[in-house]
Amino acid sequence: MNAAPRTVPARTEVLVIGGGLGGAVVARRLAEKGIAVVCLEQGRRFDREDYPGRTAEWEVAAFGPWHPSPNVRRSAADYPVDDAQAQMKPLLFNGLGGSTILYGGHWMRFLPSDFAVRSLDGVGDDWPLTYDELAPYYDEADRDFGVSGLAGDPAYPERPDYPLPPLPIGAWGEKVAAAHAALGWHWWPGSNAIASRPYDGRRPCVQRSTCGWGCNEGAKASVDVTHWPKAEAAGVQVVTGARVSRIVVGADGRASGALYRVEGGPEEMIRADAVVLAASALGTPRLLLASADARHPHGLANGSGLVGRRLMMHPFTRVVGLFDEDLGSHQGHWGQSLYAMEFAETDERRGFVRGAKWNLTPSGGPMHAALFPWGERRWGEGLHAHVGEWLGRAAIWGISCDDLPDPENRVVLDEAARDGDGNPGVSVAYRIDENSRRMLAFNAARAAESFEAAGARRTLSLPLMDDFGWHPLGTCRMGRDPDTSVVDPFGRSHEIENLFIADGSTFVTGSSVNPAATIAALALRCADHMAAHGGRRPS
Amino acid sequence: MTPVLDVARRSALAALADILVPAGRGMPSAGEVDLCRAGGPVDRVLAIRPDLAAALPAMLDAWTGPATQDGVEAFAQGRPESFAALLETVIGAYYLDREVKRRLGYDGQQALTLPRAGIGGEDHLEALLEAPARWRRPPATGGAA
Repeated sequence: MNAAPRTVPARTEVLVIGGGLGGAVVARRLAEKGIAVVCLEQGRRFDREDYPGRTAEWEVAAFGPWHPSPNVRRSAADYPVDDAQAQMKPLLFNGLGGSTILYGGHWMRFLPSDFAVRSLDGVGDDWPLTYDELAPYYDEADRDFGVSGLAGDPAYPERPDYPLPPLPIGAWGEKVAAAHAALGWHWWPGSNAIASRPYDGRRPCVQRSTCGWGCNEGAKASVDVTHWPKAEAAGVQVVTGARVSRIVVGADGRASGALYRVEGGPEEMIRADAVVLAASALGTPRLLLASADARHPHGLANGSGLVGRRLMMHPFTRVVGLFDEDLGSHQGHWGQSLYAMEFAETDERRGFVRGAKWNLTPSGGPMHAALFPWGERRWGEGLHAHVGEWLGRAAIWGISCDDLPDPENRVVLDEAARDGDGNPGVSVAYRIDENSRRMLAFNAARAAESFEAAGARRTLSLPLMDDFGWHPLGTCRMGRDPDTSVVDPFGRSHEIENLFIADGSTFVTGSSVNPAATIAALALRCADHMAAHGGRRPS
Repeated sequence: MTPVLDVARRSALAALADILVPAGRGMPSAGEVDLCRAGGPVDRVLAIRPDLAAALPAMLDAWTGPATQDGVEAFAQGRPESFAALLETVIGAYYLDREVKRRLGYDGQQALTLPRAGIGGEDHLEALLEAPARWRRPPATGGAA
């Protein structure tokens, strides 16, 4: 076993726990302002050559060691996640870069209405900030991540041009665009954190369609490419294989640092003036709950009782359109070819409130075609017909439904299941409510109509794809009232003034769109607040 | 590296693979491409999938049903997790085979060059660019929570 490297300082100004999206954005920003930062990340570093996308066996690896579910992947870096009581199974990745290693790079801003769900629709809660307040940070994040896209979408307020032009929508996208024009429905070229031109040292996308298992080209803006090199160049010390067991709070009521082990070595203490948790909506409440002490018997920052509660995951399904002609759709960025917000805003005549975002993607390879869980028998005589009509001829609508908070949807510690260092795992309870089920059914039916209008010979869908809890969110919500929220609008804990959260845990509601851009924007805003006020709450 | 599958298990797997992947629609059966041959596609799958390498021997040793479509169907119903491992192994291996790929017209995922002009759908996009805004402006509360 290796002891903690001697280069890990015993003290730093800011300790960031978690090397994923939020942690990377905060660390880079603070370091570029001259603040000393150490990041502890429980997973390892990856090299682009590690990713399976360029190999013939990429699909075999995708169903195993590169699967987004920790319960399938079972990497040594993962901690136990009991999802038996979850109607959606949470997906995440532990490693430097976090879930951005595997994400599709779908880069979407929240709609302005997403910040005022209670005021507009009488459900959920309003956020303690507005789209306009976050817009400058969205703009900056777009540049930092080198986003490809096209400004002018009527589904959104005016915004600056994207730093890069959009990626091609593909032959399948052209069919859907024409169909939506005929139907009078919204569509827009996909906005993706995938380079369409050389950008900031990144190569452009080669349309290999293996974005979900790491980008071999470095075209996709995972933060191990976009942020950590710059952060480390600015002085951030990153320690991988470093698993934090608890955050320590001193007699003064402030976080004094954290206890951690590096690759099973002895327990070490790192002291910090401020601590930033960025360990995901599962990992962050896990650490807060595991850090309970005599003065915080229910976990740190948990006076509201909301740490771990209000878990949201975007109820999700897919609708597949199968076309007669070969569209070449086994290639293309994955990534969204285009998206549609036709049914993203509330129309109560549909029988539910809030709405869904649709993203159109390519078809994947033959193994994905054969094994996709369609409820049809996927072997025997039907196999060749199924794969033959799918491979290169399929387009897929992903239907991502807005998720509203329910305090009974939650993450709790699972003392019975331990990670490699003996720390408790988590147990997840998550129920999909009737509003979401209606939303899924309505949108899946409309997406089938979209493909039919585009000329698909037939469509396939399921009511729910419960294995695809892409976006765990909301387990440490932000707000102004310490009785009803965990952190303030900048991510600062109400109870421990030098403890911050900079990941999707702080989301108040889920929106229907992919959360990465909003996590990045909130993390930038959090970092600027920290740089301005340090570990002291402004008076 | 010691092969995961001995001769007996390899033979048992080959019989099941032929049920899972029969010939048809111009595609060969698993047996026709000798999917389970030593050093062949199944071994390539097991080399990068230790989970399958661990599950498959026990599954094959426990197999008592006939290597028929009904027998496999009953196994799939009765032991879905073991069947999933079997299916992933066989399907994954099948689409690694060079002859299978040739007949399928699939040459793997290729690196392509992006077009230098145009993204597609421009004609339809122009109408959207002229469309009125469709987003909802929240009340100017600044958030109440």
